Amino acid sequence: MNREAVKVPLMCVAAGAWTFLAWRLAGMPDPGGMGRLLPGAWVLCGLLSAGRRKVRGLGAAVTAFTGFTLFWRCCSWGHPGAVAASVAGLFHQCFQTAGERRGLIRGILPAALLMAAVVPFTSDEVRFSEIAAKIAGADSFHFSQRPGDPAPGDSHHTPVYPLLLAPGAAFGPPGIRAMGLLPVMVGALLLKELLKRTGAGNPGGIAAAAVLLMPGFTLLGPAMTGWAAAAALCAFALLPGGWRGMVGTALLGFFLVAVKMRYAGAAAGMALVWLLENTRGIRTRLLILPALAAILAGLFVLDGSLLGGVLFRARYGNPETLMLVRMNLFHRPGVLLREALHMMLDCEAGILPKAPWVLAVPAGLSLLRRADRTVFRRLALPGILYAAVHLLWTGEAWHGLPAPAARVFIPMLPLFAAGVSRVWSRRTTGLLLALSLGVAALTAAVPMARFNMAQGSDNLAAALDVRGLCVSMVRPDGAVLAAWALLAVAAVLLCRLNHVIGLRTVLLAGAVLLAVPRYPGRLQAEEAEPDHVHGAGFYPAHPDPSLRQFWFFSRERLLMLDHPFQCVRVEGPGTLGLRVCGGPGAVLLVGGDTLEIESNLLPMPAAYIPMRGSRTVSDRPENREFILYNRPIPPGPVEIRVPRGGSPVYMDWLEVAR
Amino acid sequence: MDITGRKTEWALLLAGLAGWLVTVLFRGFSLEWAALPLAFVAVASMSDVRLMVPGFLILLAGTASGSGSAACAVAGLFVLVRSDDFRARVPALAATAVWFLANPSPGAVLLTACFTGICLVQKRKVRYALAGVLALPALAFMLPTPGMDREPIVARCFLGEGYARWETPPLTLGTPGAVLAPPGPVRFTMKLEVECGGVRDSLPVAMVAAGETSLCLPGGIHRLTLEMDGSDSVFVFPLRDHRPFIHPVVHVGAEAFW
Repeated sequence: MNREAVKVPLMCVAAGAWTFLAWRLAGMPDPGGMGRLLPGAWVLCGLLSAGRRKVRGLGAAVTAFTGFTLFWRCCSWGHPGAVAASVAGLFHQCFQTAGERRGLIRGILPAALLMAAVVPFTSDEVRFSEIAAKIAGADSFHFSQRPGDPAPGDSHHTPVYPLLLAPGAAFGPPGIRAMGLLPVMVGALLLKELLKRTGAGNPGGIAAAAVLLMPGFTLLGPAMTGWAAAAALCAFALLPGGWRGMVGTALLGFFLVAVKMRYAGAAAGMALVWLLENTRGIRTRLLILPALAAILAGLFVLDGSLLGGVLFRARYGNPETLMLVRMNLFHRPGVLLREALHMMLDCEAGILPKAPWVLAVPAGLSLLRRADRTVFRRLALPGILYAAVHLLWTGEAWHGLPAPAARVFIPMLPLFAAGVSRVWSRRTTGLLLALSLGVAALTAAVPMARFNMAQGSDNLAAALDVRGLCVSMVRPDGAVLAAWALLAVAAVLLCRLNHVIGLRTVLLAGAVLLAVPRYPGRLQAEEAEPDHVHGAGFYPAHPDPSLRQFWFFSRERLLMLDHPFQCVRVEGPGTLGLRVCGGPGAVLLVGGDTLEIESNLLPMPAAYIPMRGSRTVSDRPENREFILYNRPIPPGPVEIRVPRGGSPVYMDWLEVAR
Repeated sequence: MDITGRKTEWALLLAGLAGWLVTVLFRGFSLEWAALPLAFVAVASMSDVRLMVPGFLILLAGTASGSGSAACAVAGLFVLVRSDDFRARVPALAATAVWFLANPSPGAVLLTACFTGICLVQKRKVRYALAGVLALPALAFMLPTPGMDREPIVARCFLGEGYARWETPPLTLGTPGAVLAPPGPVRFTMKLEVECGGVRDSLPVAMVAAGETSLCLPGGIHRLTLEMDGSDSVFVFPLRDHRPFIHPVVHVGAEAFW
């Protein structure tokens, strides 16, 4: 037997065996879950990498894993760090296998199976499974009504995506998960073909890296419609030109809309590209627009009369939604722009904190545009239109949280991958990919990091104890936003210049800058440790985000004091600062002092047109003005509580200035 | 630009020092924080881009809580084994040693001596071999772990009229115990569900102490009802020390009525 040919598989299997053994020697938690699945994935990776000659980065991953395992009892990072180091090493090996001839599926499979095994089976996936079970005649899933459904027993989801999953329904959740891998694999193969066509070196490796480092992959594994949309967009970029391509464009466009109405922007982008490529003269193009409008109207009628509104009316085509589009466009363009910025930078839902490699995309896209304008147009227009229409259509709920964070960007995968492929070999890109690998691995290691509530605190940042540094759309802070925006712009420019030392300096400077606490001593009340808070609950009450219950109207979470036994403890001496609100009769006892907390209801903005005629906002804490209190406190512990029979008081933050 | 140039080294050193000073300025002096600039210099001295992952961890550690210095020690360990440059291995060794000095443990001296030996070896394969040989006993006896003298964590309490419940993360070898503070100055009935596991024998896994009562619980699910005074807290302590092939864990669910 050729020794070289078995070297890599043996080393991967050895890495898996060491992971298994070290986990048990160190007594780390979850030996029966991740402690078995991760070594199993390593072994599978080894078996599937047969024939590979070179191994890179394996020693680094094993060393980092061992280091974190040694220290896991000493710090809160220890256990997640060990898991993340091993997952990062596994992903890195997957990229290398995927770069081999016919290696793409072999490369992706170990990571995909690992994620499919560890990600919870929740919400939309359950709904798709229910519909798939209905289609397949299996009875392992039960149907229940949810907000947005047209009628009991009738989902607002179309049956197109569940149709793909239906063959697996008889085998329960594992079968559904297995079928959900198909769109991922097809998408990855099409992406590889696309990258090959654009002349990228190592198309398999790039395709695998793009798929595995896309936030959705470690967040909800393969069970999302976004992967089917990404596959359709790849296929569109590969279509032949001319009238032959029209049939393909129409089919892919209808497929996208039928999978989920959210992808209508991408479908419109496809139609626009076809128009630009196949028609000449402004008059001809303008004539085709009424034809498209007629098709849309026909779809609307078909949806209303035959499909019972499942496709369009139940969720996206009703008067309220159209009103929201009008509001977004004409009444609050500033808010829309801010949300677009948060799409990039928000720590809970934005793309850049979850996948920093996207920072290399602009530099690559400008090169792609010069090299192959057709592919550039076919990727850029649908991708950008998808994001724009999505933002316009859903307004401030574009993120869909607490659904797994950043999943809405998956349809933009072909655009991102084609962009990064052009600057793949640059060291700056390597650095950004390494950062992304770290984030993806940490997300895989901290299960709750997959879900966020859009309440101002990212679960991964909370696990790493760096919450204060994050950009938040519901807890806006201009200075933090500006710092990160500057960092992002600098990183994009440095990618363009391929200047790795400069990027390191920028990252270090940014980290030091952000490390400086701008409000020393200030604490978000809901984030205060239990040592300081006794008995107080949260407003809104926090459901388990992994259940992905609807969380419309994202808002900052507040600490609620509504019982005399509840209290917040601070340590004096100093000046206590509080930002609080409360309804009629709300009083707060601070040590021996009594503070009147009653605050006014906010006036309704003049531009708002209420549907029921009343111009008074509903009496909820978020609709009341917040009051700032500053009060000196004596040395020693001071308790803040509400009196018996008092109204609830809602606390935003507190600080003790020495 | 040559990253290994002398000017760059000085720049890295100064940047590391600046980071440390900022940390000391805002978070107070602690010896273990010296691991941050040392590990930064060690990692940045390596020219391999892939190694920026531990570098990134160090940057994060600089902004995080005290436990971030342990991440710096891990990064130091990483460079110690990986780097072929002796000038990078020295600050890496120092970063690891500083952490051990700040957090003394029974095996600290032995491990530091071994790390020094590894630092002096020039051949990477030999360093890997030495580290591999060292890793087995270090993991089996958990040599770097300092004494578990930390205070128990406080369980988060949510209370309403006549009812309270507590939430606490699972207690493992890395958590010293949990304390469930009384809801208020009233007599109350507490219902505890303690789930102990991760062991292969029937010896006690956790101890529940409340007022005058203490109970040692073996593996399994235990449902306890306790009549408590308004001044009594409930403590739950894992009883097992580290031993290879056992993963003791205690899940605590608690609610109270009055």
